[in-house]
Amino acid sequence: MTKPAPAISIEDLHFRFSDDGQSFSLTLPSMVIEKGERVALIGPSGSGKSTLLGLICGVLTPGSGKIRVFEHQLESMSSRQRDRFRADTLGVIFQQFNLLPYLSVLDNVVLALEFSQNRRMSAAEKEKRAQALLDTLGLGDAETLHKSASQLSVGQQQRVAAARAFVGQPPLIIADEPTSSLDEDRRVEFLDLLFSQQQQNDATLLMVTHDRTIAQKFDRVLNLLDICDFSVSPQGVGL
Amino acid sequence: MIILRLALQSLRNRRLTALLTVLSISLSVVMLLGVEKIRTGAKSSFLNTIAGTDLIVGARAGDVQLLLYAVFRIGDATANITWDTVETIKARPEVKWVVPISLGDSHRGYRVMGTSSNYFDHYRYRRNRALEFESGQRFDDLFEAVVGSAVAEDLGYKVGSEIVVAHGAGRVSFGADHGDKPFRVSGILKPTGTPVDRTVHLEMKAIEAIHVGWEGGSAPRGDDIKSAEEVRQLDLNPKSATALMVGLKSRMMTFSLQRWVNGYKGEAISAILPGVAFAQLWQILGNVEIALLAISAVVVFTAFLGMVISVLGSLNERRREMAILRSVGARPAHIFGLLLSEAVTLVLAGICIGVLANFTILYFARGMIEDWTGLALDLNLLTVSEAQLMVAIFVGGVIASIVPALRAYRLSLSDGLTVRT
Repeated sequence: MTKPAPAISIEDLHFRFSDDGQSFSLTLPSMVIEKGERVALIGPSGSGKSTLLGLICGVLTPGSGKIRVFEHQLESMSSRQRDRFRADTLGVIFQQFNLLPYLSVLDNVVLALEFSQNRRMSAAEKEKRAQALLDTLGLGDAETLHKSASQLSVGQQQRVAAARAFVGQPPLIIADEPTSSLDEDRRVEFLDLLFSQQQQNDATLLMVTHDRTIAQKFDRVLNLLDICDFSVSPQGVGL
Repeated sequence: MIILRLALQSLRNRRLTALLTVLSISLSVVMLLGVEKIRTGAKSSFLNTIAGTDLIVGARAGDVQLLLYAVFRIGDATANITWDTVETIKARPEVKWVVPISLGDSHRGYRVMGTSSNYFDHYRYRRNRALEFESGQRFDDLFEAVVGSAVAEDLGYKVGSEIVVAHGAGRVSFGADHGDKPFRVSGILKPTGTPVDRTVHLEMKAIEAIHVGWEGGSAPRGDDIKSAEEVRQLDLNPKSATALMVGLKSRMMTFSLQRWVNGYKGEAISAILPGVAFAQLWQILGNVEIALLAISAVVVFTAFLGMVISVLGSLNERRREMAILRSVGARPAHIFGLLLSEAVTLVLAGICIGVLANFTILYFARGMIEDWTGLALDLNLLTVSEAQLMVAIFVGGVIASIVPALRAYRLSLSDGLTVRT
């Protein structure tokens, strides 16, 4: 039996970005994340975590090397194709400020279904799915659903963000320190929520974190310092 | 579709700024349209100062000069037309009616014009409106006068008031006046927005009467002084006229009569078509309208600048929003579209509100404006040329909107999912 294709595989990746006399460069010889794996990405700030996520999400393009996410060979895709790939394949959760302040909770979740070609469905169907997921996450009451996103607590905001990431059942979830804005109790709670959704959807989870205790709960911990070489010049200016 | 919905919701979220931006755009549109309405109103009321008159005949001079003194009472005629000539023209087969006018005297800064009673029948302005009396009636007696609305209002005249005509056209009469022969106001005309408002009308014979004994050019002395009653007994038939308004039996004859007049051997006279002369005169004044329009255009430009500044200013705090949109699969083109739709919505709302506000103001203020200035403004939402102007403004607004949209596009490209500030 052949091993299933990995969720993410990166080979000889080289990325360079310069702006206003500042330049970053990232070299990553090899990285593989299997389908269904939960991987914590750690590394000090300035080690290129955000850059790596940007490359995997297809908003940054490598100078050379290969990035494969499922069947998509990102470096050979057009920017249009990569935007579509992101809409169809990825769920993204940021550290904070995940929501559009002018949309309701429900609309913020539905937003994830709007740009995807694979998830064409009626507006009512979209709302139904979003509502069902929010229900599961304990945000399904009518009052919360139609609240403006800016009226929520940070913890609630992160849960809505999780709902948005999962609502289209994308096979890959990318999370950039989603727990760092939460207090201790909420962190574990949020992580459990991520894991249970990930399991239900049979998704792959790649999460950046600074928190070693959180990282230990993952299948695997990748330290960026071990696998890649990132430099910033002039020195001392970090991301 | 989703982008448009997002744009509207985003605008609703920032409704105060959005509202102020829309307000400044609509104010500029109101101003532009207002200037345009007044401009076209002034132009048409100017071009329609005199209507129904096919030819104006006067001593040979430039078309514009003849128009200026005969219609606007500006400047003086180089010479008069003898009454023989007047009679000859009147006898022409093409001619339906002739109204003589005689200028030269004034009353407290207002021109005095001698004419015949049928002036009130034939003088038409604004297409085909006849003169109407606010109070009183035409002059009936030799020493009666009909005054225009501005004269009556300015000098506080009512029917029955006595007025004294000054010799010459100056505001100050240097003691040379026709005080021995006062006139009684018999009628006051309604406002017309034409020079008629600023004119004192007397009968032709009255002009002769007050000048009895003045043939030498100065006030009569001694035996030459005739009392009003004595004057009544004299032959007061006019000996000359300053200009003639001529109506023809058929407009087709206009050019042939004009040719005849211009080739008239008896004396040096010329005939003008009022419409043509007005158009020439308006060309001279036309620069003013361009200046007005230019000022309005600057105001519109300022409003758009305000819009661009407000949208641009919000961009930095919205980079996070753009990253979120990008993360759910929005393309940079979507970001461009979002910002463009927001700005275009502001422009469109500003224009629509401006047009409606202008219409509303016009609807309520039209009567007052006409009463005060005699300027008749048409009541319509948009004329074709105004609609074209609005389209031009809209296009300008869209172009202005591209500025912040392009900036957002670039930012979303370079930011990706992480916001570097």
